[in-house]
Amino acid sequence: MLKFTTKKYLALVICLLVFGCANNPLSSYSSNMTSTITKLQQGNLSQSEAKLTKSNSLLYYLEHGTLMRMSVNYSQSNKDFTNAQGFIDAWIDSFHNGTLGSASDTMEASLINDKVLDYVAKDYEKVMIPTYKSLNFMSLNDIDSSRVEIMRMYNLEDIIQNYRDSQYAKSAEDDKSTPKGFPSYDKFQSDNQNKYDFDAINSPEVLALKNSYQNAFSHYLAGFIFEARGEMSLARPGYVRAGQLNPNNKMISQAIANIDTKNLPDKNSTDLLLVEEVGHAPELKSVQFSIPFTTNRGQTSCINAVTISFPELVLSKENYKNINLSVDGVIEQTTLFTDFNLMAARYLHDNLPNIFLRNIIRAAKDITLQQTSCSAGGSIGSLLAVVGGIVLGSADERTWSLLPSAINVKRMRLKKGPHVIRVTNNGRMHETKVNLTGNYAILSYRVIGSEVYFSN
Amino acid sequence: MIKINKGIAMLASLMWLNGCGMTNAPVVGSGKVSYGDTNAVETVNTDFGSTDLNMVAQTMADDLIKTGALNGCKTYTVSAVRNKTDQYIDTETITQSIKTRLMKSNLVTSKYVLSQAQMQNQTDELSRQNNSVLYKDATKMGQMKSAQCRLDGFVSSISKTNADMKDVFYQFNMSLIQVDEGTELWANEKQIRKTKVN
Repeated sequence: MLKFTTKKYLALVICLLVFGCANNPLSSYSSNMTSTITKLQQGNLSQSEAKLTKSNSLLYYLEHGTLMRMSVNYSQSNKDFTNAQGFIDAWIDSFHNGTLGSASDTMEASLINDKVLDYVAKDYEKVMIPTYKSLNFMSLNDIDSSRVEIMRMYNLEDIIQNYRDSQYAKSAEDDKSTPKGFPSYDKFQSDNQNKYDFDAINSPEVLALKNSYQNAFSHYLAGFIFEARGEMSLARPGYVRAGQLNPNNKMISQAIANIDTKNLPDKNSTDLLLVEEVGHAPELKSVQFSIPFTTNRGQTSCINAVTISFPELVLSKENYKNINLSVDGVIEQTTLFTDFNLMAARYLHDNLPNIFLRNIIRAAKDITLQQTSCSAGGSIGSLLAVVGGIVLGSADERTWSLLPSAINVKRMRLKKGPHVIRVTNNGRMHETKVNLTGNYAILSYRVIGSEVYFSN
Repeated sequence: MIKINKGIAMLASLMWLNGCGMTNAPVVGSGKVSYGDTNAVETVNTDFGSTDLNMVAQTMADDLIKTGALNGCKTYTVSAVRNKTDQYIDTETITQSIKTRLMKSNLVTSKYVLSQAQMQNQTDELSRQNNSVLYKDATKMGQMKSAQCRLDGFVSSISKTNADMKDVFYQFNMSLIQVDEGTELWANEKQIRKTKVN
């Protein structure tokens, strides 16, 4: 059983404030990233990069790798993503050897908050690392390496699926009941509908997603890369899986039909895949629920508070519904393949019950502290403990901020040779020229704010 | 009592010292990675795996050899086997494994010619030799043998899942087709069922 005295608790707080943990539990990641995103929206990549705090952390590599990709510096982007991959590999190892993070990390998190832990990428973020590397290698005309990465993508998905299955099996065995005196998750949810947007994470669109890690774009890309290499036995399942994740998508069913009927680009034509990434991933904001109550210990009456904090999605208010794409002067329509707003919501939907339980443990810790300080001498100690609980009990707001909010795709069969691609957003037109030479090509572009960053 | 000849003892000692083909190679690494039996039955999950690959290749090759159907063709090749499942199965691995088993058999007289998937490297090499002034004996173009017959096939699956279990049924079909006539000389199928109970 965990027992902390008020002195030890305050010492821990001071230690964290003065020396800082490896990860500062008081910092707000979304606030830190705002200036980076703003510079990006203003078209200033170098200043955006300067706003990132350099560190040997997973999040830094993810954000910097994305920035380098937008800067068309694919070698550096791949170096960053390779470093990020190292963290994922360590996570896979911890899953395989059954530790899933060190004991000290777990202790810190249960006492203070999740932010003291090293950041563990969300499932959909993990899958996007090899996906981006694969796209980078395609831009570097290295299709063999691109193939390696896309295989890594679906192997990683299998690992995540195994992990989730084992978690599900374990949770079925565990006692999920909350400690005495605390509400169940369902009760808590129904009691706090006005304080937290539970509808956003329980919407039909969110529940329609198969899970929070498989995305149609990554599998369609796998299909495209295998098709470009002439490996139709691998290309077809890529498209089939994309179709399972994004049903009724005509572009996907057409790709399967093309393989079945051998309707492939001839020596004079190129299948061009236009990958439109828009906006940035939703931010996470900590929402706190502080429930004061009174306990009596002997003759002394103390005010207590249970502090519960949840991460809530904050979607970008920017509108990307009127992006105008034209190829050689002809307007083209892209199709939504992957919506990271929904995937992030699904991730929260699946994980909030666990976060709730962790919060209950912290709340129990708060009560122990407050009762201790209550018996030690009165209401001042109690108040300090309450304040401490509120300050340190904020939810983890970290997320891969520079992921797009959505990925849209357009596939076209064009004649080999020069073509002009124009993208207009918020009245600003951006243009690039491509010279198609092979049978398959990919052009990515990122629309953020009024800016467009092409991959060529 | 057993008497040991000194010469035999010395020979035995030398054999022990030199290893005599039983050398224990030094191991580099943490010891956490090890080699396993490639023929071990793999049941990690219900996906198409190494055991399935070996089963399919062995069944098809053995049956093809046993019937002697392949010897009706002077030359043969393998077409790309279509993958109708939703799993990333590299069917070229299956067809190449079948081809290798056929080629290793003394009972098969038919000659294998390169498949379409292998042809690019072949034409690249022919072009390289013929477009270079470095070779006085460059291989002549236009000498390649065509395939009289081809092996073709597909793999499909039916998957069903509920809260308690996942069941996947695989079917691998293969046939030998005479290219000029389009007639089928041989056909076989291999069915595999994999079930995982939650």
